Amino acid sequence: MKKLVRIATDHPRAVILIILILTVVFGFFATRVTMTTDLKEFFPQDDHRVITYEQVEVDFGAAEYIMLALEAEDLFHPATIRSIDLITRDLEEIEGVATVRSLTSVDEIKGTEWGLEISPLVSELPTTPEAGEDLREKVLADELYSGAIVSKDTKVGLIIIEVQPDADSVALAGLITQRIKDYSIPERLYLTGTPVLNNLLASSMQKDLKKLFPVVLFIIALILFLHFRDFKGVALPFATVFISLIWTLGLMGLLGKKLSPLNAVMPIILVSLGNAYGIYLLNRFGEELSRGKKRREAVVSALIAVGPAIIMAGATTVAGFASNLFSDITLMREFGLFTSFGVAIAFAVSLTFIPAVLSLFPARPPAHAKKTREGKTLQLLAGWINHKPRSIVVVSLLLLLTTALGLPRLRTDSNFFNFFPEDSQPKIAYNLVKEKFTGSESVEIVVEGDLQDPKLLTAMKGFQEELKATGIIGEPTSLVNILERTNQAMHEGNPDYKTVPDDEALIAQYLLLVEMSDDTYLSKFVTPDYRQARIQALVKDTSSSGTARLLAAIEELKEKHFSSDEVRVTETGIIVLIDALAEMIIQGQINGLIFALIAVLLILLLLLRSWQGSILSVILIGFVTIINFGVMGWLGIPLDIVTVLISSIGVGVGIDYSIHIYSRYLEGKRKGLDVKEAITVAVTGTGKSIASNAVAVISGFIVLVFSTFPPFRYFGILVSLIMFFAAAGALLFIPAVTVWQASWQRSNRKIKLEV
Amino acid sequence: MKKLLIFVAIIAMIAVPRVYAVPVSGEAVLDKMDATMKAERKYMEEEMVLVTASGAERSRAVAVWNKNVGEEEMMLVRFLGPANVKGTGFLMKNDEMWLYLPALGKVKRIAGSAKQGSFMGSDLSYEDMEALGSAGFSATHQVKAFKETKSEGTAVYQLDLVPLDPESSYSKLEILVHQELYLPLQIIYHGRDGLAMKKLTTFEHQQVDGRWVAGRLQMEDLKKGSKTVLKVNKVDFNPAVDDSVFSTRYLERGI
Repeated sequence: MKKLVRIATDHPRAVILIILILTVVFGFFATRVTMTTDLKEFFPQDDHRVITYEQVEVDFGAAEYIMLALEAEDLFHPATIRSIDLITRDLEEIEGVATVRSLTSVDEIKGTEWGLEISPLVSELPTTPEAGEDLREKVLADELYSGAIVSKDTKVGLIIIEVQPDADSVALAGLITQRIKDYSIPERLYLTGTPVLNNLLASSMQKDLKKLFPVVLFIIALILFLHFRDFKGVALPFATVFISLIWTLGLMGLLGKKLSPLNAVMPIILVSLGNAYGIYLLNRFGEELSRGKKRREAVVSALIAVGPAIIMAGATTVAGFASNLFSDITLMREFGLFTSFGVAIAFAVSLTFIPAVLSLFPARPPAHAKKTREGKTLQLLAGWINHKPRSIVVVSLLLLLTTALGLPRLRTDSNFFNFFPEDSQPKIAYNLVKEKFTGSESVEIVVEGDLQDPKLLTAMKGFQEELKATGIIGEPTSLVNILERTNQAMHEGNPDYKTVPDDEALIAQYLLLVEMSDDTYLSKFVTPDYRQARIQALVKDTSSSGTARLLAAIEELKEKHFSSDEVRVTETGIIVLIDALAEMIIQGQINGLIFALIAVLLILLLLLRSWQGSILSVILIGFVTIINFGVMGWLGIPLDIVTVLISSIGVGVGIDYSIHIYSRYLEGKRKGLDVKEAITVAVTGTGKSIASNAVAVISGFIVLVFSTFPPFRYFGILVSLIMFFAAAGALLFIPAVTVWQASWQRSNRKIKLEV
Repeated sequence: MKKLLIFVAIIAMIAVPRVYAVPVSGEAVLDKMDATMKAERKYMEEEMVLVTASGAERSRAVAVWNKNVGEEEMMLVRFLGPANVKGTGFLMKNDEMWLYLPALGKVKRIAGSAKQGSFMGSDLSYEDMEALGSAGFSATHQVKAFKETKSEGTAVYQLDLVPLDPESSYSKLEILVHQELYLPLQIIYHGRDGLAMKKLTTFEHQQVDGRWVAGRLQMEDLKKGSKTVLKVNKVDFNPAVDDSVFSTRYLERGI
């Protein structure tokens, strides 16, 4: 420690220069960082669910869709149909669009008196109301169109834009969002679908953070100023935070990583947490100055006094964030990596850069070192702890128990749709499509086997029909529907023949016929070797529970219809990926928490060198974690990809308060104070830093309440809440347990003596 | 000075004829290539293997009869395998198409618009099949560029062709023609957007009835990553068949 201290104070200019040069270098790389919302980037590249998903994209053309709903008085008015056609043809021209499915572009298998034709459902746009009526009748009678591309009340039409597998769907969504603004048509347009939501999420999140970040900075600056009442007290912690932020973004740029919805909150985290190390140091520096020490001397003794605690606090925070490295979710791992790096830099800079600057510039003892109101409150608190330790412990445990009862109510939700408020444009569009159509997101079920075998096709038919009967999905489309319609067409349109033929040769020949008639029609539903077929259906309820129901139904019906070993059935689609994400969130959370608690315990044992203090701190942080999840359960806040980060912050940051309190307590004991005296010194001395740090951190995070995204809001509230409990626990619970335990030991000893 | 002029003249006499030693034009090469491949009547047995981008394979064996006289184009395809499509017949008469399904026992017409698409879901379109099989290129394409060059050590003519039909799916064809065999070694088909779209390569060149033919052709779809391999098992340039083969009645007879 002394050597480190000497480097900073003996060569202050060199230290400052090196840090500034590195900051410029990292700053250069920081400019390269871009933003991503691609759901696939949440997964490891070799995850089987991503592989299946990408396979479907390659084998069948597309698996990602942008939905455009068009609302009109009457969809079958010739003018409206013209609008649909206009939009369909315009969107088809855009690069990255594979195909556009709409009323005016879908193909149908037509049996004619002379043969078979695969041609557009609407080959000529109706020009008269009568022709429109004929079309209405035809479309409503067909389950492939009614409720799928035209709502049953014929007021809303759906235009489904299929994205090319190699295209950037989010960028494409942005392009289409702009494009549709230029249409001068009387009908109302609503855009939804995962790529659209992701695009909007990325852009509004950036806007949100740009708006909130300055507010966070201002509030923290204000609190620092109120605390220190001088410029240096604001500037130094701020410089630390900015340096760490630039280095972290620089590292991201250097490694070619992107900002995601997840680590978008990282700047706010670093700004709110990173200033703490500087605060403890500056506080102690002030204390030392007011004891009459010279500038450089004061720096050295402040560093020696609080340095170990800062290192401990920093190391545990790093461990807390590093716990995210245990997640299977790629972006969470990246969040863990970069935030721990940022925190490590923040505390390293606090221990080098701040002392270097302090030893260079003149300083005067802080004006507020005398008795203040907060000082009096802490005095009162210390007295209370020393007199009624037991009641504090009991109240704490009751609080813990009450919140813990909310644990069973905790649920996970990884659905991006829930990131949008009910009255936001994308949510309105999503709800409209959900209400009027059979769904807005697709589930893709891949059946592998001999797809010319009538037995397998019949099984597929049974599977599809029963799955539809559950009401979870709309009309499924697959090879089965194509074969049924071909069979009917080849039998003069006789509805009795709308079946899958029971003859393998006939099936093979029908497939050949369809292939000869239109080569692209079949390729969306079966691979050319007839080994893999896709059943596609739109899903209505895309919530986590809805998806869970869907997957359970698929699993059950799979068992029932495809018992043969030669058949393999797998499901994928964006909603399946989202569901998988939920599962990964929970597993990662459990592993991460266990790691964090063990790591924190080891760091404390190593640096604090006190069994009691280490275990007590870890227990407190365990309590705070339980309170966090319990409150989430009570308030119905789901564990999603943003709120999942809270517990790692809670463990890593919340522990700091315990460390500072206990370090100061041990320092007092070493100086020969008794337990009660040492507790009083710790609570009144360090309590000040803890209180102002907690206020600063909470103020930083509480600003997120003004975010437009519910998960960010929850994040802000919950982090503030656990910071409050962690600080309160460190100021009340830990001292109270310590005092109580000491008096219990004393009375034990007394009893022993008496015996 | 006079000596110099004579020297220049001599040099010119030696050198210039070399430049003009290529007696051929792009059109002449194209005509000669067509003459090698084209026939008024032709019978072929082929195996068509389709390999998708992800490596899945499908194979079909067919017998093909072609007749190409004047404006009239006719093609009859009879499927020989796999077993479940054996006997299926396909007849194309100019723009009209029929299919006979033995399992149904019926002949059905296919809409003419299907001719724009690919042939039997392969990487070859009807347009490609026609040009390569019997109709040739010269009647439907214009030569835009021509030069002599080498391709993998073989002397070739390089031709750039532009389709005359504005409805064609291609904007340009880049052909490498073998200088002695007058067979195309490679054709790169450029799409309407000008980008390379498909690539045809020919292999196993051999003489049949005194004419050079490619024993194996491979068409790659450069965008999708799939390819179709055509193995020619039998070629007959003088099949003894009359026109009644190209009728729906013959189609219905099956094999």
